Amino acid sequence: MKLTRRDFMKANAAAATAAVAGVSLTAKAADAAVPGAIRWDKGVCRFCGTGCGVLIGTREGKIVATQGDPDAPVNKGLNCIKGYFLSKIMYGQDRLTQPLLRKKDGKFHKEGDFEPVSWDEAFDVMAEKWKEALKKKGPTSVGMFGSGQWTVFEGYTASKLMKAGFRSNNLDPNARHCMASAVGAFMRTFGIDEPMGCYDDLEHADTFVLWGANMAEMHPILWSRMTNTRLTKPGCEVHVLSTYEHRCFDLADNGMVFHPQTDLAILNYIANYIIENKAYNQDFIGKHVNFNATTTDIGYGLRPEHPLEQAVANPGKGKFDKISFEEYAKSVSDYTLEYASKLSGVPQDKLLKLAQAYADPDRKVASYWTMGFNQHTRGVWVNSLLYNVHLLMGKISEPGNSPFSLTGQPSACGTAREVGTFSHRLPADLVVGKEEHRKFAEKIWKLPDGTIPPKPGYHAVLQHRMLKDGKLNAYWVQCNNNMQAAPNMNEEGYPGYRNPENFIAVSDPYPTVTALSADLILPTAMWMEKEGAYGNAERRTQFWRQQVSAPGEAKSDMWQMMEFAKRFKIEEVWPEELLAKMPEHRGKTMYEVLYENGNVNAYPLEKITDDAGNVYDNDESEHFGFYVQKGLFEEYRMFNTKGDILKKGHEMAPFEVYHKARGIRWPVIDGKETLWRFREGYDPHVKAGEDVKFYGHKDGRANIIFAPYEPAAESPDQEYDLWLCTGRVLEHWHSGSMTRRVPELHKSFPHAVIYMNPADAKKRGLRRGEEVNVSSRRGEIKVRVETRGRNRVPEGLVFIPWFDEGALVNKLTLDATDPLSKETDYKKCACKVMKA
Amino acid sequence: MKATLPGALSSAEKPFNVCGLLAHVAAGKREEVRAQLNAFEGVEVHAETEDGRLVITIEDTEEMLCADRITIIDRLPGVMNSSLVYHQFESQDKLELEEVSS
Repeated sequence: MKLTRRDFMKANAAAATAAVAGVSLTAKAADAAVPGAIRWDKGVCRFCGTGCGVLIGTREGKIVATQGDPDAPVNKGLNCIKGYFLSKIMYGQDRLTQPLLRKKDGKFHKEGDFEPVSWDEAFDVMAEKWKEALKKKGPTSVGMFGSGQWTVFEGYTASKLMKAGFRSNNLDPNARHCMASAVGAFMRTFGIDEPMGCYDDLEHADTFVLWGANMAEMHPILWSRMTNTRLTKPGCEVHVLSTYEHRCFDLADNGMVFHPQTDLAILNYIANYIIENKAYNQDFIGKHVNFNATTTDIGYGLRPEHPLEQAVANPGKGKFDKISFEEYAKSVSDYTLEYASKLSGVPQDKLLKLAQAYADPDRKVASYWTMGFNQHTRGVWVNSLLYNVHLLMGKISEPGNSPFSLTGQPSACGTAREVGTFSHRLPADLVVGKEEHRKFAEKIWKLPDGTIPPKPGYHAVLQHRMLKDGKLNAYWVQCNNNMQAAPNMNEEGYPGYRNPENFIAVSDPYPTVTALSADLILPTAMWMEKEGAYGNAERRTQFWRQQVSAPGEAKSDMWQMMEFAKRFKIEEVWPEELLAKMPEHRGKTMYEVLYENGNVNAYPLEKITDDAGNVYDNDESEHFGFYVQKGLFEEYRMFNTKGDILKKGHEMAPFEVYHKARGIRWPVIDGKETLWRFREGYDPHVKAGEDVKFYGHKDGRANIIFAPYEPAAESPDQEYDLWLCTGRVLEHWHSGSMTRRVPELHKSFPHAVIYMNPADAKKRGLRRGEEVNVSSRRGEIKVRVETRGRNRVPEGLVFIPWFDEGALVNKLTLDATDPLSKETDYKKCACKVMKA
Repeated sequence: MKATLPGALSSAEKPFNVCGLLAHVAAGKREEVRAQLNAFEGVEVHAETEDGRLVITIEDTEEMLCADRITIIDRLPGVMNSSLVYHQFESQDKLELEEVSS
């Protein structure tokens, strides 16, 4: 029998799919599916925070195939439709292959056109600008904006580069836009970051509740696991809450559309219902919970001179104080069924059904949320209000009872959060504000006392404000498209980048909006072009080997940072009094001090192979002469595994173990992963007889924190009469810089549209498909009207996805943030829509 | 060189795509869905599990790319959920190469 390559491809596809379904194929098809010339290796998906395992098929130096990894516990061989794009994201025609610098007359010029330059010239100019800024204004004038899509190694490299090397805490990740509110609530409620449960809860719960998460489109694999449970488990129910109807409503037993911001009131109503009906778990709250109330009237994280901030009593105040159970009960007692229903617009019977599900001691409840909760001017509060409900019932830290914060980026947890790339953080939940934490980091990094500055740096939104104000002058953006992603582009982002006082470098595989707004573009090796590691939403750390080489002169972010560090003598970045404490560093480069410190360069080059004996490249290690990824990871691991660690609970396995496993969930103790934290029998940190222990806090208790309903920063009024909500669609991931380069995808959803209620369209004399001007107090864009389709918005609200660089919706959004987490509320501002 | 405005640029070589899709079909709808799938060009049903999951391959045709076909199948009445398991793409001109003799 002879087979063409086409037949062979089909046979491979059938065999792989049948294997996942657990069926065998007819002899003809099975015979054909013998291993071909494709080399297969395990990898991790490049897109969302689910962290699906994918098998990567490489032939002749190119990735030609991907399939869901049948051995991956997360996705068990399945891929979402986005998996389809995976092998193509690296092969867009406008892939950047050499550095580009704005030049006029052969020299750098802020108003010049981009011209190709060598890496040497690129780094010469960039280093000169950084040195100039450091000399003029000191370390607070340099900064970096990183990513929850960086590998763990890259994030760690950046943390050291900025916080220890340049001694600037102006390092923040794009995860600030995405996860910061979740982090804030984890720290306040539990004293330790990241969910206590895991994806296994998707098979264990009786009731699922989605709070501001469109899992059907944004986390399709987790959604398919939930769908499976809903359809096969008797009595299983799904409740969906959102400010508009989306595809999850198709499966909902109780779908609820609420007015923006009123989730605060709904959650307090549920707590009130539980207390009034004495349904709470008295034993649990008596032993494991403290009651508190948070400071109110905290403002909207706008510029201090903004009128909204002027009227505020306690701007940015996060302090919360202990109260009694009775005081807590009294605080939530205002939130009656009638009040919550009236405020939210959700019918009483639906709210009651939801409250009953949480209050039923015999039902296991799993709650899921993403940006609906996190991108919220009361994001930290609303995260905590949900924990309050779970804690009142003791429905936490066991199979099926799980409040679970989903993530949007592949390594928002592993990189942005765990290795300390936030402006206030150090690795493993340590913070720059505590002397003990700084000293510990300095000891591991072999640096003198006082190297790390104590004051938190500029967070994401503040970075753009400081660029505009000329206080942040040398700036580096890696692995994200923040000009398109950040709020209020017209008033903050763009003027900041184009401020003549500033020099902006952007590293990216493609010429994004951000790259084109910069002064220097550095071409980046992406995803499988380097050895990498991601940490997903369920604390699972996953590694992959380098599969192919990057095109042209593109280099990984890690290579770029380490090479850039070579451009600085330590004397140029550290003051004499610091250097005098460790004179052995005199005359060294910053690269030598940070990365040839005996830790990072401790592991020699090795031949990298898989179990089948295939050999893989590791371009960075070959370049630097030691196993870079291993050295960085093993040094990072000292923060969570060394004998004298300050905070237990983040323990990780040795480097090699991850290359063999399909991911491992931390804490890893005695070689074993942990599925549910804080409960005896599941978490080795909880001793026999302790039952439940929230060991992130010294007293072992979690905090129930009361917070009231407070209105949004900007609500519709007579002139700007509609709520504007932004978000994603299934076909495109984030700003579309990868997915829009896959022709099929671009074709299926080429441009952003405005989802609008038919009645609102009619009132304005608009028809489906018609072009409109959408404007806010800050800017305007043109899009076409969509009154049907997957998102059915209520009257008074419109939804516009943000993937389209041809319709930059962040020209409209307001840079109002949660004053505690500094995360922007992309879900609520006011706009108007008129015929174009 | 001036950086060009980016966008979705069509790839230089025309790729040919093949996908393996697993679709979960509601009881009572299986015959109907199977009949619809069989009528699609470039779509083949290879197996069916007892609980109603179909093993399907989809290839690009003149009329339609895999990606669009997957969306159509995903939204067929009776299809509760579909998951992409496998994807491979090759350039068109390599398609008729002989790969395996047996």
